[in-house]
Amino acid sequence: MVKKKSDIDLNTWVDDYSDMLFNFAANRVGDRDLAKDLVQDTFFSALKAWDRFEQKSTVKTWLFSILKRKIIDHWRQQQSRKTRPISQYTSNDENENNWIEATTPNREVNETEATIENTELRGALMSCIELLPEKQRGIFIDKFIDNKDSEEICNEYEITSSNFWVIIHRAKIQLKECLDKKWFD
Amino acid sequence: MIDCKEAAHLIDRNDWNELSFKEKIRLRFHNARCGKCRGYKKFSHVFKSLFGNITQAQECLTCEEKDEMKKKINS
Repeated sequence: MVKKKSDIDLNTWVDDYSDMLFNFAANRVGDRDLAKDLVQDTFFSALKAWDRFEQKSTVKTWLFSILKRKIIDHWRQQQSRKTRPISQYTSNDENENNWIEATTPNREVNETEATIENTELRGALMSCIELLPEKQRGIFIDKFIDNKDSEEICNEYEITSSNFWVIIHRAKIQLKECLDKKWFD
Repeated sequence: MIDCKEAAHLIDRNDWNELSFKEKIRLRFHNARCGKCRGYKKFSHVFKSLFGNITQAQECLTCEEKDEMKKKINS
């Protein structure tokens, strides 16, 4: 039955879907607060777009598609905002007072730097995955990110096992080339 | 003896522990004399490890966080 906007119980949405949406987002952006904001934004956007929702898919699938777009937008922003490593902000001049070194232990600086690099690498990786053809992308995400069983993926996409591995191999090579350009150059 | 195409296929599957004992031996024999495939094996292993951090443990919102979210959405 088609529901009207006024019939939507947002509390039920939060109870039913927030955990799975949050888990999905947290695993992809690696930041709890950001993931929470993305889930919240997803609910807001869904509510706004409810009249345009044709209800051909389930609410869950629809919410996930909105969240995925938000995550992709986030990665695009990350990519366009090239962050310099923290070490570049520290001065080589020992006499100069450096607020980072003065206030933060070296280990913490290194960890922060590593986190930023991981976040950027993850961003580059996700944006490269987005460039894969749709079917290849779906298969690749199912295997490498969602850790689905190969047989299950073959059944889902109606492909043979050898086809599946050819697709995975091609995706890996394409992603390597893309990462070489986006990350290592 | 397997060729490089088949070896690459076995390397991809090996990352997911999907090789039989016989296949592992065949791959090992091939790699022993093929530097290109040894290189691909290393790349493949590193590539898979890149995804280790993406697929972390299950994350859940606390009841307080959900309540806060409900308030914000309903306001």
